[in-house]
Amino acid sequence: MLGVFVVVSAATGFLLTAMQRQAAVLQATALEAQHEALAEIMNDSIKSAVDFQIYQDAPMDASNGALAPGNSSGDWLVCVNQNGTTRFHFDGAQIECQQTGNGAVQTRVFPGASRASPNNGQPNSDEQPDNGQNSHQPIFNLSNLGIIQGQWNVNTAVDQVPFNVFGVPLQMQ
Amino acid sequence: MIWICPTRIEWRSYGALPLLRGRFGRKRRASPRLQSAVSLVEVLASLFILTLSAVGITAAWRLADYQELLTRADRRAERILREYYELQTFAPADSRPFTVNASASPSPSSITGYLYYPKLIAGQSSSPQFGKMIPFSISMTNGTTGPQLVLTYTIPSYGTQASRQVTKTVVLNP
Repeated sequence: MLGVFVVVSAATGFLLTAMQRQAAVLQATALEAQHEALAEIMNDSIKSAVDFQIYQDAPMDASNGALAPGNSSGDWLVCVNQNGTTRFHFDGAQIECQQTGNGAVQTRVFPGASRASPNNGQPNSDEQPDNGQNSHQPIFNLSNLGIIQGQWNVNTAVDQVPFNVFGVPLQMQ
Repeated sequence: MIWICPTRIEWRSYGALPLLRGRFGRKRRASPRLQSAVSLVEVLASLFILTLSAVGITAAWRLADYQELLTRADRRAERILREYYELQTFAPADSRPFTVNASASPSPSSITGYLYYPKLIAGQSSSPQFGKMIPFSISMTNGTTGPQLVLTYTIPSYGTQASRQVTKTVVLNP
């Protein structure tokens, strides 16, 4: 009886550990898929933008519909296209995406985000993992040639996933 | 484990020790020697089954992990290729990662990186540490249908399977 008990207990322990690990992997995959969807939304918003701005602080709503002058980098990105306005905001732990169109406001939150290391994903350089030394580099920046870049990391339970979105607005292509 | 025992065992309703019924139906207490032999067989069989279970579960676990890793690496490779395709196609000429010089041969430099940054066990505290696995490189080559971006990455070996290279290609718009 003792032997049966030991075998059943050990096998159950193994199974539980394997299931726990598998659950963590599934959770990581789901989180990555969420941020992949966010990257798609961001890419579409940037490419179809007729007006856009990057802000370091929360942007004020302009009364005449035009966006206030922004900065070359920041944690806020506002894109205006024919369907409405899409606003992205990184608050240090998550990215919020707010889409406004035809009077309806839709907000989605993408958790698990962190700042990318400065050289992460830059062309002609190795992508490096951010080993816990997060800089204060904003996640959105605009190059002199009009390329909007959004870069952030997603820390899952099993790994770190770098995301880079390069977009050139329609008027600059 | 009772089937291993050479004689039939009855369990007393009021005690932990079994009674053994012999050939002539005589009831007698199990000798300490026989009890210890049964216990040893039980332990050995239990260990054998436990080892088999552990090996089986661990193998299935590793295989599932490996397949998951391949799937994720494949999706990331496609995502990175898509990012650089967008950049190479739509960015101003000065900002493109690959340049074509006057002799119409693409720049030989390639972009390298890693597809997988696993969390290291030693770094599971407040500041996690990440390793680097599955290196990749992107380069631009001249294909039969024109310039194309080629992403190559090496997937790790598993069991008897050696590590192998995977190549993904996208043709650039002229």
